[in-house]
Amino acid sequence: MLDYSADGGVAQITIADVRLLSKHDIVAAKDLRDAIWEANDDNDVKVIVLRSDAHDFSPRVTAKPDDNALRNFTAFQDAYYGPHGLYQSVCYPKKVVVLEVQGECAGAGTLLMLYSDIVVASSDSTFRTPADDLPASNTIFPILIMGLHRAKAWNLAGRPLSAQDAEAWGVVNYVVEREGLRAKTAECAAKIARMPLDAITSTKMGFNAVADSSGASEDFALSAFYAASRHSLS
Amino acid sequence: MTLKTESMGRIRVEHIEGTAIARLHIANPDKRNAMTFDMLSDLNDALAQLDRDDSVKVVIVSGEGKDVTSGWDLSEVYDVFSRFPGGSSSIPSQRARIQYYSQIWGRNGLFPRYAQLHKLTIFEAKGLCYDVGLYLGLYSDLVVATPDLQIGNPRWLFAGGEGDLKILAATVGLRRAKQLVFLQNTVSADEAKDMKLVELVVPPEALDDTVMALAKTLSGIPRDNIFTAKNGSGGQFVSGMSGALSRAVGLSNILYRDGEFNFLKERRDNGLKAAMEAAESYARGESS
Repeated sequence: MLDYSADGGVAQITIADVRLLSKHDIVAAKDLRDAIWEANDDNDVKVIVLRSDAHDFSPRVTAKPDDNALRNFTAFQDAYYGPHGLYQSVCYPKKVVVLEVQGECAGAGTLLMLYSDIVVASSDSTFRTPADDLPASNTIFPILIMGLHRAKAWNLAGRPLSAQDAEAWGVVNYVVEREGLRAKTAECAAKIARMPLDAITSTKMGFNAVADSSGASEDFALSAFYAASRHSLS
Repeated sequence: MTLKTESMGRIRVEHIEGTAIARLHIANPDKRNAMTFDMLSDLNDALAQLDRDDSVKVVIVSGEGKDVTSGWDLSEVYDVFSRFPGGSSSIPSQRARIQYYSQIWGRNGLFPRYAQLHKLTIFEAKGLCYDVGLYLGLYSDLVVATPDLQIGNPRWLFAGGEGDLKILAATVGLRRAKQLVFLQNTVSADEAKDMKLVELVVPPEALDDTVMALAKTLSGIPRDNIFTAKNGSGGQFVSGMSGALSRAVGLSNILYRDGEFNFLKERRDNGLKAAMEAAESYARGESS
């Protein structure tokens, strides 16, 4: 499912298939979550890079997610949206999370994008709202990142953002050609890693408090229930 | 246009007669308007006086010379704790740290005073606008910049995310705020305008006229309207400022590991000038 390596203050987690997360695969979510926490607990790691070698980071999955995942609600919540779940592990670690995106980014990939700290994208990447395929109560982060009206437009219009629009809206930090993507991600990670570890953890806690005080923890608390109830109604 | 001027050390207040406009100058041009502890005290006093002055509706904040401020005076960093109980030891006490940073972020500190001033504020962002300048800009009602602006905080690289991250994220967006703090540290005038850190960018020769025209327009608003609006909006800043206070205290006491740039150690070992050169070199990635 994934490959983990760490060097020079940077942990790199390469995900084999992000679509498994869009299908609510419990094992895939737990593996990724555990890798992130391993990096978070390693005092030699300051930056966590998430990436995939696939042509498209997270292609759209239109089939309904795995039935069993939502029927076993506790396991689903624990794996995905709960305090020890995947998405909160991306959102709240003490280290800086850098996401590298190429091509199509939809479903769970967009959720990873919303919760990461820094996003480096290829110029051909597109970002589809998770509301299209994996609706949950994840409204706060789009609003914090791009502002209320743009978040509404993106969530409701059904049109993916281009990389260029995403950069202009502050959704993506850097847009580069595909062949330069890994180098740019590595450059960003290396620069962040020059900050003292204590400074990084304290600053991350400050930004985490900003998200929390804006309603992020309520969003997460509602998300699993909303995802489950929508599944049962559809 | 005649002025009535009051000087408090390196902070100068000019009342423009015949108007409801005052100018608040940061005046330490030999050090690019670096802010000392004494200037901080004078600025707090000046803001308290301006808040009580019913003849003033609009306050323009600017710096003498080509910069608005290069940030806190680095020759005083850490030494300022000695002004408070338990602050003179090699490891200043927690209470000394809290008392110092309360002058900046506490209930009657600089930024709460400025953010909750019952006057409309216009900030002239020119040249270097670092650190304290960034936050004066963030809490101002309007920011007018010149093209030579460099705004942000170079010290984030080795001191961590000091300041009110909530208002920074609310102004530029959460992801751009993280980009600023973790990666970019300072931005140009055009980048600042894109990020909504500034409203207008004008040539230097047009700055005075542009700001004065804005101030005159704003001063046409009734006093009660200004007072009520500023009074109501002040509360939104409280949680971000209290976070800034506790983080500042924590960040003043971080442990530097091997290979991490320790400005205070450099200053102690090699003097201020060498420490600043080393900091700039570290920021360019030239040393580890």
